[in-house]
Amino acid sequence: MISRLKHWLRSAVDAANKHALVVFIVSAVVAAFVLVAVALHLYRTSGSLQLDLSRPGYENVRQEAKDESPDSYPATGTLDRAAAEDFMDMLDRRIRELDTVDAFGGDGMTDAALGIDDAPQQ
Amino acid sequence: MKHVVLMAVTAAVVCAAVVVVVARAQEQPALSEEHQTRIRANCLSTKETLRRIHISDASLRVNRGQAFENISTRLIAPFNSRMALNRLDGTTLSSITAAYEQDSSRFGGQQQTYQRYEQQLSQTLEIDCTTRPTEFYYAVAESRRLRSEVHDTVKQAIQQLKNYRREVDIVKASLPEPGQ
Repeated sequence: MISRLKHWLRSAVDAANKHALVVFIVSAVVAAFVLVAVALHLYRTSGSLQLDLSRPGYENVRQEAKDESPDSYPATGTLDRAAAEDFMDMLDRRIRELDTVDAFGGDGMTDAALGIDDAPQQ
Repeated sequence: MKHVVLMAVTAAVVCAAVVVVVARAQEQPALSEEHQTRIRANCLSTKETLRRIHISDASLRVNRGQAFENISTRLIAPFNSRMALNRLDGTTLSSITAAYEQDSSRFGGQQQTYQRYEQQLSQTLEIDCTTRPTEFYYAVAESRRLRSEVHDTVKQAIQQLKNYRREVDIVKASLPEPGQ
């Protein structure tokens, strides 16, 4: 059994040596496919897919994605009432921005809004 | 003997499959014929609306995620470290920060609320509502449920920010006036 396996391996190696270029090209293509599959799997499962607005169909919302770098609060310095007030002002501003739009809320996805409710058609 | 074991195993598998199918059927009661007709009739417009929601939610996800991240790294973390540098007790602020981090990562992290919602909505959009109206209807219902989970997570994260702000206000009372 083992000698047969050894024989098979030797003949496989001989054949590979004879067609080295073909083996190299096929191996390169297979490796590329495997690496692309792994990359796509990671892209889908890591959450990058959901953040990728360069996908087809997202052209219109691409501009809506804000690329902003808001002011930072200094991490050093004395902490007195004025410094705390400054911080609260900055935080208030950010909370207001988040609160303005009721993200993922609303009635956009109700059966009635989508026209798939059980109401009799007029 | 072998045959008996094989038959028993086959019977068990068939029974399990039947139980699963029946359970699913009970979970999702059949829609009336009129209801299915209505879904088929509005199929195109429904999908178009869902597609628009899908796209606008993607932009919201990016902006909300970025905002949560910025607040954490540019405001809260520096304030916490400034509290520590000034040897002030920031225990409550730290615990609110941890809760906020948890909520914001529950929103955008891997296999978290937004990702599950997005995957469900993508699958829903792939269902042909003219030929499979019932399946489509329940897929939309599941997408709606997951979207509402995302909504709640965002609300909770914002609530944590409000709690943090309230706690800073309390801390402020114990701080010295400028120049003292």
